Amino acid sequence: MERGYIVVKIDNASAIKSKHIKHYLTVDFISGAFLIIIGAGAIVSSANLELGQLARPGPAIFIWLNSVLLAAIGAALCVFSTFTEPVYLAQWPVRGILFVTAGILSFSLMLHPLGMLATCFLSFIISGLATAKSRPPELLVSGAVMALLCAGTFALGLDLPIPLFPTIF
Amino acid sequence: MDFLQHLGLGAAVALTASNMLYCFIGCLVGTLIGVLPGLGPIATISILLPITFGLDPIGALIMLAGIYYGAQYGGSTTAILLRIPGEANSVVTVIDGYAMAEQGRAGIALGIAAIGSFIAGCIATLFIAAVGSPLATIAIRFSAASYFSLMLMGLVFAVTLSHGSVVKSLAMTILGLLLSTIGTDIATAGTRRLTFGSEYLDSGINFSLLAMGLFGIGEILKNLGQTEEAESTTAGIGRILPSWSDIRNSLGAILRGTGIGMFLGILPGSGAVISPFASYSVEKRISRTPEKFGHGAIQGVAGPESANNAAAQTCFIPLLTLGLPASAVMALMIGAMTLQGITPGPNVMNSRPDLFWGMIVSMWVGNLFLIIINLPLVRVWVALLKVPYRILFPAIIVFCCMGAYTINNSTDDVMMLAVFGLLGFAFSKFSFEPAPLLLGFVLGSMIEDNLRRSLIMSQGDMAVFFKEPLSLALLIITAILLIFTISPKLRTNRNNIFQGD
Repeated sequence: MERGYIVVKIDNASAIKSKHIKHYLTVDFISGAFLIIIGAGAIVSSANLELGQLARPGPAIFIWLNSVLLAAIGAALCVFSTFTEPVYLAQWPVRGILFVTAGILSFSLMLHPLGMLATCFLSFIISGLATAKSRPPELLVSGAVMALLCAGTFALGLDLPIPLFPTIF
Repeated sequence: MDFLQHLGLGAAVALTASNMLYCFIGCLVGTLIGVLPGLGPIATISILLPITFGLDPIGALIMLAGIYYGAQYGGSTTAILLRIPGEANSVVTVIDGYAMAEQGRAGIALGIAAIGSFIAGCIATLFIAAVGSPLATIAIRFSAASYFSLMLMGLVFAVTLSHGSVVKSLAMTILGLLLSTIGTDIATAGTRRLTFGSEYLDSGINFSLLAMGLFGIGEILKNLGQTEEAESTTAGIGRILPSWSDIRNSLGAILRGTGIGMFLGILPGSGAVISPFASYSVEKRISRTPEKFGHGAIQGVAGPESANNAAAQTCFIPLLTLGLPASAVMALMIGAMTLQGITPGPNVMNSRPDLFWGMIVSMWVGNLFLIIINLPLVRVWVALLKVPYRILFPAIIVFCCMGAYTINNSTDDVMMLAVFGLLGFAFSKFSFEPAPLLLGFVLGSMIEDNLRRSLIMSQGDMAVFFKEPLSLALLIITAILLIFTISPKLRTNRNNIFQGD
């Protein structure tokens, strides 16, 4: 198990430095850092709230307790990450994240102006494009089926007050 | 004998043709709607509630109970097939249930959930009939300090669920507690906490939204990131329903789960929510093959589902006698009952025995109907899994969006769905398990409330949690549990302490 103190005889000094820093950016270290940030953030945002006394606890006490605990665990994670086998972050599926998020956001933006049918159809297609294995004709047909299914279940079957058709025209 | 008298009265009420019909319709509709991803029991019951308005009080309540059970089971179905927990107590089912689905054993998981629930329901009904009245008095003995310790114990149960790093699960539980503080603090007359000036956050985070985003959308994003084919569900689905040996293996878990659920369900407050977590911990600890838990151990589904159902029945006792709902769903049930003219109170059992016992017996009938409706339907649900993922996941996303919208008729909620989805994905990338976060979130406000009350009543004396005998007992159990969970991990390879899955 390696620590970071490998002496490498290279002329390029910056190569050694970046190897050091990246070596420490393990999954555990980053998670620990995030936990500390969240804990600290919570304490800072509730700075205007009263702590109160033990006999009359204020609104901030619970937040404080949890934030401190969270930050402590974060610190422990960071420290112990240097002793364990380093595990680094795997690749993020950029296309997947992009299209799924776009699909959900577009749903929320389109629902009122465009009505349920169009929205379900369009957001189905947008989300469907998140995978490289998508086939456009398949998507179009399934999207149409999905839109009808949603309309049938939610609007007709359950009588929910959602407009089916576009309201901007 | 009281016992037979109660059951007899209940049967006379529940087993009329019209009431049986109401029960059946309730179960059927509840299951069908509950199965849709994005519509958990809370949404399902709220949506279907208007159906019950036109009926007489007893009929309406019986249909409501049917919808409740149908929705619960539909929620378990979504939990097992799609990893989306509809309610706090389906969170545990997700863990091994979904793992079983990934191994092609979805039908078995669904079947054992139904069978376990039915057995638990039968036993719980008999239990309530026998000891219902005297038990109601025990519940009142609980002080605020004991409530606090009980819920602390519940949180530790959630941590012990983790098959990854205990420390990370602890962090998630605390994060859940923290998230539950977001919004307006009722106890201090409307102080806004952690809302960052946003009006949307003033009412706090909605549980269904959190669950859908973290588990449902998060899971989809995770699957999209995998380069191998996620088609493992076609792996020889030879057995659709559980075999007799499956049932035999799960029988112990079912009976233990029933016991745990029955007792925890009676405790007012979150006993019913905690019971599946408790059952899972117990099963994992007792099992001869604990490493299977988290990877498709059938006891990990049978135990918690039975505990769930048993608790769902026995929690009607504190619900009807003390008016204390164990969860959001039960709060809805109280609301529905009040609409029908039944105000919960210590005398409900005596003032309206026909209603009380009629409901209890019809709950059993509902369990029966569920088995009848669902075991054949298991094939249909499993067939749904054969739909190619590239079409399935956009459908799930759209359903979740619709479900998110129906919570409050607000598109802001749909946007939050995206936020939680990304969060859920991030958690999985960093090997954090979301289940403890959900439990922490659900219990957060109750824990804080009881912490406050204990401190105020003891005038700042922290020792109050140790002075009360019940509270002390619960804290000792919690400590033992925590030690037991951490110690085997310390003994095994120390390098693996903080590694995730």
